Amino acid sequence: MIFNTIEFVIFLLVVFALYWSFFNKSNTRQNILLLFAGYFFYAWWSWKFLFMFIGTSLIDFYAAQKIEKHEEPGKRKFFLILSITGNLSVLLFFKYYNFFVTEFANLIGSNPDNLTLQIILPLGISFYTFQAMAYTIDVYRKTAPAEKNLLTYLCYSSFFPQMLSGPIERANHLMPQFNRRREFKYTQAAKGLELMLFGFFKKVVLADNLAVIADRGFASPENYGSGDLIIATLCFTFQIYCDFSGYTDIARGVARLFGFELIKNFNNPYFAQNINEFWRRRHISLSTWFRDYLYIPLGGNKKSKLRTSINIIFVFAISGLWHGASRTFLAWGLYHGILSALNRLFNFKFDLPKPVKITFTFLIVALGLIFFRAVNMENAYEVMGKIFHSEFSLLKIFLGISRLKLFLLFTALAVVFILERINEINPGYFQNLFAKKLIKYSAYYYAVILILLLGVYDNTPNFIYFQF
Amino acid sequence: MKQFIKKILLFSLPIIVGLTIIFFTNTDREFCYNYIKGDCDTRGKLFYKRIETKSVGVDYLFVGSSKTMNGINDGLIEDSLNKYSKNKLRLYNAGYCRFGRNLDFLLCKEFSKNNNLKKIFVEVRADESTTSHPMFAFLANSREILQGIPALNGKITSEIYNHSLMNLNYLRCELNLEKKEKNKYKLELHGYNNIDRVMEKELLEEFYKEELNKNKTIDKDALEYRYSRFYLSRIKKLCDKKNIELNFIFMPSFGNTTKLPAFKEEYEQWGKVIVGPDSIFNNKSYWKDVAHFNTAGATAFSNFLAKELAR
Repeated sequence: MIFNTIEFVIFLLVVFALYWSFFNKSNTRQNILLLFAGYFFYAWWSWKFLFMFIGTSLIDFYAAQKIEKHEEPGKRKFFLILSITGNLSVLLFFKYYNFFVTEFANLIGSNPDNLTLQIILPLGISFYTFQAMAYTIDVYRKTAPAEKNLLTYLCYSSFFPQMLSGPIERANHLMPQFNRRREFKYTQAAKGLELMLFGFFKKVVLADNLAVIADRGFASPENYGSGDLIIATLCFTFQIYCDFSGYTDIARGVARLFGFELIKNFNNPYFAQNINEFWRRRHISLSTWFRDYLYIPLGGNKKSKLRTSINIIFVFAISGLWHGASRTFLAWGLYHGILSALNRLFNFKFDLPKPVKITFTFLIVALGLIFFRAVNMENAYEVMGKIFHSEFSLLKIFLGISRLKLFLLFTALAVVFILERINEINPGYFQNLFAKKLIKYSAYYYAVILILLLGVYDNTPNFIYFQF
Repeated sequence: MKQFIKKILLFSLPIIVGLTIIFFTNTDREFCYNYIKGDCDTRGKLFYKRIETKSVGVDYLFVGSSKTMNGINDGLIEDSLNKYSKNKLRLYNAGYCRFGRNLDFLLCKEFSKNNNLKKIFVEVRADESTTSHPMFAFLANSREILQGIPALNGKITSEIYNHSLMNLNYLRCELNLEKKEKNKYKLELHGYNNIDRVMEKELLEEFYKEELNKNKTIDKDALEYRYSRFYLSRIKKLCDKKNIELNFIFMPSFGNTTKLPAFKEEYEQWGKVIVGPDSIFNNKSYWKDVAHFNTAGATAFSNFLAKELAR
C-alpha cells in the first residue's frame, strides 16, 4: 500500500477509528490491532512474502530471548549469528543474488542469463531486516533488553507507518512505546496531520513534478546540452530529498496519529557545509546504523589514518549497495566514501563564507547523485560527459511545461527549504506563528490547493525508497 | 477526540465542497476525448473528429467491442449499399476495444447529437458483458456516472476518481497550469480497423474443442447482468426518442459454439438480431485470433451484412 493512494487513506481512516474506539481499552488491544494493520498493509502488496516476514521476525524474537538468557559468550554469539544469518540470507538472496551472479559470470566470461533467477524483491526488505538486526545486536551488546512479549516485538517489527521505508528505528526508542497504553493527545494528533500534509505536499507537488524534468534528462541525455542536464541533475537532487523526506514526514505524522513518536530522519542535509556533515543530516537512521553496527566494529577512527580511511570507504560502499544491487549504487557509495575519507584525512578547512561552503557541498552531492539516478554506468557517464563536454543549451528540458506551473513549482520548492531552515534555526518560530489561527489555516489551505492544482496523480508515482 | 474529529470535519468541508464542484463541472468534449487514458488506437480522438464534423453525417452506426472494430468493414458496406441507391448513406464503425454497454450507450448518444442517425447496430456476443467500460469515466458526464449506481456499477469509485481527476486536469488547463492539447487528427470517414494476419489452424481447433467442452449455462437473472441490461434499455429509449431503428449483430468467436447469443429473446424485444452464417464463423482462414476477424473474415462478414442491410 502506498501512502499517496486512496486505498491507504481508507485503510488509515478505518484503523484510526478502530484504534481509538474498540481497541482503546488497553495497550494489548491497541497492539493487536496495530499488528493486524501492519500485516494487512504488507499483505496488500504480497501475502506470500508476509509469511517470510513473520518467519524472520519470529527467529529474531527467539534469538534475542536466548541471547539474553545465556551468559556464555559462545552461546550468545551463536544466537546472534543465527539472527543475523536469517536476516542477511533473506536480504542477500532476494536483493543481491542476481547482481553477484551476473558480476561473477561477467568476470569469468560466462553467460549470466543461465545463472540468474526471476526474483521479486520483497518490499521494504532492506529496512525491516536492518531494524531487526539492530535489535538483536543491541540485545547482544546489552544496550537493549530482549522483549519478553511476542506481541510487542511483532508490533515493533511490523509497525506499518515505517516498516517499508523507515526511519529504521532502534529498540530502545520504539519498543517501550508499544509497552504502554497510548492515550489520545489532541496536540500530538494535530501535529501528526500537519506533518502528513507537509509530507504529501513535498511528495506530490514537489518530488513528482521535479521527477518529470529529471526523467527527461536521464531518459535521453543525447537530446540535451550541458545546461539542461545540469537542471535535470539538480531537479533530481531536490526530487530525491522531497520524495524521501516527504515519505518520512508522512510516516512520522501517521505514527503520531496512533500516539507514537518516530525519530527524525532528515535535518536539512542540503545546508551541510561539508560532506561529513551532510551524512549527519541525511537519512540519519541509516547513517547511524552503519556507524554503530559496521563502522565502529571495524575499528572506526581508533586505528591508523589509513585504516580509518579504508573503513570509511568500505562502509560507504556497503551503504551504496544497500540502496540497490547495481554498479551505479556502488559507484555512488564509493564516491561518498572517498570524499568523506579525504575530508577526514586532510581535515579540509576553507576560510570561506558559509553560503559558499553550503553551495559547494550541495553541488558535490548533486554530482554524485548522477550515479544514483542513472539506469546504468553508461547512462551516468553519458550524462556526466555531456554536462562537462557538450554545447551549452538551456531550457529545452522545460518544453511543454507551462511557465506558471514552473514558477509555482520552484517558488514552492524555495519556500519549503526556507521554512525547514527557519525551523532548524528557531524551532519555536512556527509554533508562535501558527498560534494565530488565520495564519495556520491559510497555510494549510494554501498547501491543499497546491496539492490539488499541481499534484501528480496519473499512474500514482511510487516513492523512490520503496524499491530499496 | 471529539474536538479533533470536529475540527477535521470542519477543515475538510471546504475541500469536499471544492472536490464535489470539480466532479460536477462539465468539461469541454474535445478535452475529454483527448484525455482518455489507454485510448485504443487513438480511436477516441478519431470518434470526436467524426462526431463534431457535422457536414459528413452518419446514417448507420455500429457500436461494440474490438470484434466490431476488426470485423465490420463500414466502408465496404457503404459502397455496396450506395451502388444502387440514390440516397447516399454514411456508415461508421464505432467499435472500441474492451466491453461495456455503458460505452455503447454513450457513443450512440454522442453520434445521435449531430447526426440524423437512421439505424444503430449493437454488437452482441455469446454472453453479455457485466461491467462498466474503462473509458466510460472519461466520456460520460458526472450525472451519467452517478446514474449507474442503481444498476450496481462495481467500478463506481474508480469512475468517480478518474472523472474528477480529468475535470481537475481540465481546471489546470483553464488556469494555464497545464497545456491543453488540440485534436490534431484528420477526419476519417470510416472506423473499421483491418488486421491482415491469419491464426494458426491448430490453435483455432484447440480453442474450438475447449469451447465445446465448456459448461455454457448462463443464469440470465443473475444480478451481474443488471448493469448491461440497464444500458441496453437506455439505448432502446434513445432510439425510440430519436426515431432510430435498433438492430443487433451477433459476433461470436471462432466456430460459433453457442450458435446464438444467450440473451437473444431479450434483444429481439428491442430490435432485429442479425446472425451470420456458420460458413463464415467456421472458416479457419478468416481469423486473426480466436475472437477477431482478419481482413478476409471482415470482408466476408461485411459482404454478408451488406446483403442483409440491402433487403
